[in-house]
Amino acid sequence: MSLTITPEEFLEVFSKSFEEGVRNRISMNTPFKHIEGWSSLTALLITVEMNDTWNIGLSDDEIRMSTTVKDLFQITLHKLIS
Amino acid sequence: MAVFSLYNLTLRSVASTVPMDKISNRSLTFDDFNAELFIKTTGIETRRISAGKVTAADLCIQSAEKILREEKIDKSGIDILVMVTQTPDHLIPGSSMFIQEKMGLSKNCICFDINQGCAGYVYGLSVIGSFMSSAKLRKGLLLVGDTITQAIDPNDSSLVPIFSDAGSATLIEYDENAKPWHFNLQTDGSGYNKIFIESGGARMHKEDGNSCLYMNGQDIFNFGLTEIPANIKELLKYAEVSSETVDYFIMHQANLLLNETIRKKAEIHASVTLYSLQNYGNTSCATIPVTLSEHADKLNHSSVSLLLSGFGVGLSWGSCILPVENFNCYPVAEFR
Repeated sequence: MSLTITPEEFLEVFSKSFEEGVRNRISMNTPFKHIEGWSSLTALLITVEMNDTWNIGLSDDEIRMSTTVKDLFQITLHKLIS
Repeated sequence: MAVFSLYNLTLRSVASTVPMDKISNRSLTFDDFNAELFIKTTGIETRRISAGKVTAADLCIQSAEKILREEKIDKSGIDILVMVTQTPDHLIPGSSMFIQEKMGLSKNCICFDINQGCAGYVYGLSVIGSFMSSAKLRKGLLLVGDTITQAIDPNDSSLVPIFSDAGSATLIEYDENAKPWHFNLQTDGSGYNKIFIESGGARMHKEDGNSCLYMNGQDIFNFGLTEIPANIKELLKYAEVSSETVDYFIMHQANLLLNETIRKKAEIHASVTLYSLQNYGNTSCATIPVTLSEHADKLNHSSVSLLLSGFGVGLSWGSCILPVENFNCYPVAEFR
């Protein structure tokens, strides 16, 4: 059975790992590596949130080759529907 | 078949030793290193560093001598010694030979090394246990230790705050009245370069590549979340053991975020899960015995069921269920 998600749902899960004051400034077009507080630890925290929610994670290559939140959303969506 | 049982074995004693030099992660001065966030996420506050003064073999010898002295065990009665390390004293021969000589063990004592990392304690138990069970060897010493900080670039802000040094000794006895040990061991060589020292071996001379430890933290994290809970659940099913009946769960001490996520996915209670991350960080193959020693007050003289799980370099991972009776567990000691 495949599962699909909306950009809003992805954004909510993605943003959980950032401080409250930063969350409302994140959009699908935000270059996520430039978000205040972004680090390799943030990537691990997002991985845990994604794993809890959809039971999938993002590889190092997938994060490295992505620029915006939308890029990560598309990778996630592809994993969920394939 | 990765799931199997070994018979007639008792885990008698564990002792662990760390170098005296203690480093606080709060004292690190890397650019953009947020010590409080790091400590909150990983659980690692302080670490022990050998700084080239002592080796894994030295730390393991002190641990083994402690057990033999405290329990008045004649060295001639040790039939096998297995050393698990990735940081041997020399490339040739293995550290176990030096240790046999240094400790004055018998020439009839079988000695060899295993090159294994964070799954090394579980793999080591399975190897020494297999020898002892099949050949009916009376007493065996499993020595597990690394001075992995010596392989880390001091400017690598992603690895320096995590890793730490330690050595341990575990005494195992042949006992026909013992309950079986159950194992689930797995390997995925496609991830051989996810935790990696590229050069310095026969494939690449030291000067031709990176001779420091590299770790792909993100991919190791995904590996841990995907494979370890499944491995544990398969083992519990095979052994017909409920996670409710496990008295203590000790994982390889990678980092608190990963370990807690694995624990929740494996459906094991927080109350039975033991940690040593705060004081000793990630001591590579030695994290499980160090954690046992860190909780010696709970475990000493106990008769309990232990669930152990190690995972890391290889990629390799394994879990085991060990029922222990009259277990002697010594607190972590500093190297003298």
